[in-house]
Amino acid sequence: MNKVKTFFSSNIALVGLIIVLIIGVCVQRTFISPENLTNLLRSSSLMGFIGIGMTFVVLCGSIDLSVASAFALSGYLMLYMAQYNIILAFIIPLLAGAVIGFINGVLIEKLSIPAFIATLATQMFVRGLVQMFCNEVTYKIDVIPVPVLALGRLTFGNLIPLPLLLFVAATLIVAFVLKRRFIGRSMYIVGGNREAANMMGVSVPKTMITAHILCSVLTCIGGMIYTSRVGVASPLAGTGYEMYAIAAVVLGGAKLTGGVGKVSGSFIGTLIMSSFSNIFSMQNILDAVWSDVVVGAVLLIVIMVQAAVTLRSGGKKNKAQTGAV
Amino acid sequence: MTEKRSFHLDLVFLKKHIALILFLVLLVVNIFATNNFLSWITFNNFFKQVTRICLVSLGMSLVIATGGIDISVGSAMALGAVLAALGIVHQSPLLIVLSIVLVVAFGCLAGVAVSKLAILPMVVTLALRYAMRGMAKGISGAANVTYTAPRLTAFFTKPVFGHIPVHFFILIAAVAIVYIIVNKMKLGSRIEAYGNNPVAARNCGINTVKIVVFCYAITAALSWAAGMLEAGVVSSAHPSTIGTDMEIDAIAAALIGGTPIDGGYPNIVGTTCGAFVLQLITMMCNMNNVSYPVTLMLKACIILAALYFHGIGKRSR
Repeated sequence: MNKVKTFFSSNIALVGLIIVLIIGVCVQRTFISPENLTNLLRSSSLMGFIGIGMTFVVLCGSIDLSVASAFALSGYLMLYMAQYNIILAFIIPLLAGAVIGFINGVLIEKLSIPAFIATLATQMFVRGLVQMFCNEVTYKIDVIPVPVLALGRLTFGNLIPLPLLLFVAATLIVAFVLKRRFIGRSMYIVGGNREAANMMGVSVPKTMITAHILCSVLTCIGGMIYTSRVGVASPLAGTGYEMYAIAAVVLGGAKLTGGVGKVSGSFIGTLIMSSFSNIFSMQNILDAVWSDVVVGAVLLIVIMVQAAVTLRSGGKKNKAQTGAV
Repeated sequence: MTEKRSFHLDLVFLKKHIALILFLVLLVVNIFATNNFLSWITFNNFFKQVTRICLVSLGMSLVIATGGIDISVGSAMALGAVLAALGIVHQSPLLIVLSIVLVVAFGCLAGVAVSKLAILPMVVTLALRYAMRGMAKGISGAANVTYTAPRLTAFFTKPVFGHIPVHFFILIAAVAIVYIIVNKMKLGSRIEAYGNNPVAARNCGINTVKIVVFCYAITAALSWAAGMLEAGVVSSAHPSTIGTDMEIDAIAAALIGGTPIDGGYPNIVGTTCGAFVLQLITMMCNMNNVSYPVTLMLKACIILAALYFHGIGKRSR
C-alpha cells in the first residue's frame, strides 16, 4: 500500500494524464480513434521538444524564455539553407541553437544576470533577428527538398509519424543522460544546492551552460519539425510557446527552484497540455474562446494538489526555506 | 590604493543610479540627434505611452522586492479593461466595479498561494495568466469591445492646461504614493525586511502573509489601472492585444531600476527611470525610422547592459 502511495505521489502527472484521457473519452468517443491519437501525438511532439529541453534548465534552477524565438530562427535557417545544401539545412539550425544556448549560459553564469531577464533579452534579440531576416513577412522558398519535408510529414504505416519517433527517442536519450551520465547528475546537484555542488567539484558554470545549450538545441529540433510540417517560416512562429513549455514541465512535477524533476514528467506534461487543446476542439459544450481558462484552472488545481502533497509529506523544510506560514 | 577606492565608489554609484544615468544619456542623445524631439507632441506621446508601463512596473518592483515575480499583469490588464468596457457598453456600473474587484481578487489569490501554500510565484502567476486572459477572451467572445463615451474618451485624450496629458498627473500621483509607502511607512520597511530574509522577518513578528498579499494585490490594482488607460485612449478593449508582453517591460523596468530579483529594497525612482528608458528607446527608434526588429535588438542590448552593472557586486564576491 505504501509503495502504491509513494508511486502516485511521485507520479502525480501520470494520474493527471489518465484523468484527462478519461475525460476525453467521455466527451467524445472518437477521441481514442487511431487517427485522432496519431494527430494528438504528432502535435505534442512539436511542443514536446521544447518541454524536454526546458527540463534541463529547470533542473539546474534556471529558466529559458528564449526558446520561443529560437524555435522561429531554426525554422527560418532550415528553409534558407535548404536552397543551397541539404546537409547544412539540418546542421546550421542546430548550431544556431547551440550558440543561443551558449550565450544564455554565459550571460547567466559569467555576467551574473538573472536567468529570467537574461533569456528574455535573448528572446527579444533573436526575435528581432528573425524578423529582420524574414523582412517581417512569412518566408517561403520555391521548392522544398524531400528530406526537409519528410522531417515533419513522414508517417510510417499511416499511424506512426516521424516527429513522434524522434520525440520518443529524444526523451529516452535525455532520460539516459539525466540518470546515468555525469553531466545529468550534476544538473540535479547544481539545482539542488549550488554551494554544495561547488564543494563536490562540480563545475557550476559548465553544467549551467551545457543545460542551456541542450535546451536550445532541442528547441531548434522542434522548430525544424514545425517548419517542415507547415512548409513556411513565420517570423512570429513559437510566440508564447515558452510559457506553454514551462506549464508542461510544471505539470510534470518539476520544481522551478531546481533539483527536482524528471523528463518522463515533462513528457507526460506535454501530452496533458496537447490533449487539452485536442479535447477542447472536439467538444461543443464550451465555446473555443474559453480554452485558456480551462488551461489556467487545471494548472491552478494541479499546483494546489502538488503543494498540499508536499506540505503534508515533510513540507516543514520547504516552508522554512520560503518563509511561508 | 586611494585610486582603487574611488573607482570602487564610482561603481557603487553607477550601480545605484544606472537607470537614471541611462535615462539622462538617452534624453541628451535624443535632444541632439532626433529631429523635433523637443516638442509638446513628443511630451504628450511619451507620457501617454509610458504611464501604463510605469504603473505596472511600480507594482512589479514591490512583488520582486518580496522575492517573487508576477507574469500575469498583462492578462490582468486585459480582463480589467474588457470587463470595464463591457460595463460602459451595457451602462452598468456594477460591471465596472466587478472589473477591479475581480482583478484584485486574483492578485490576492496569487499572494495567498505564494505565502500560505509555498507555491512558486512564477507558477501561480503562470496559471493566472492563462486564466485571466482566457476569461477576458471568454466574456467578450474573443472580439474587440468598442464603446462610445465621449466624455470619458475626452478625459483620456484631451490635454490638461493645453499641453500636458492627464497621464502625466496619474503617473506622478502613482509614483508619489508608492514612493511614500516604500520609503516613509512601516509597511515599506517590512516589505524590504521580508525580501532580505523571509524567515527572519517572520521570526521578528511581521505578518508575512499580509505583506505578500498586499504586494500582489497592489500589482493587480495597478495593472487594472494600466488596462483602463490603454483602453481609455482608443475607446475599445481587445482581449488578446491589451497588455501583451507587458510583463516583459514591467520586469525589465523594475530590474533595470535596481530592485534585486531575489528580494530586497524596491527602488521606486529607479523603476520609474527604467520604464522611461524602455519607452524612450522605442520612441527614439520610431522617430528615427528604425525598423521594429532593430528596435527589439537594441532594447535587448540596453537591458543586458543595465543588468551587467547590477551584476558587478555579485561577481566580485
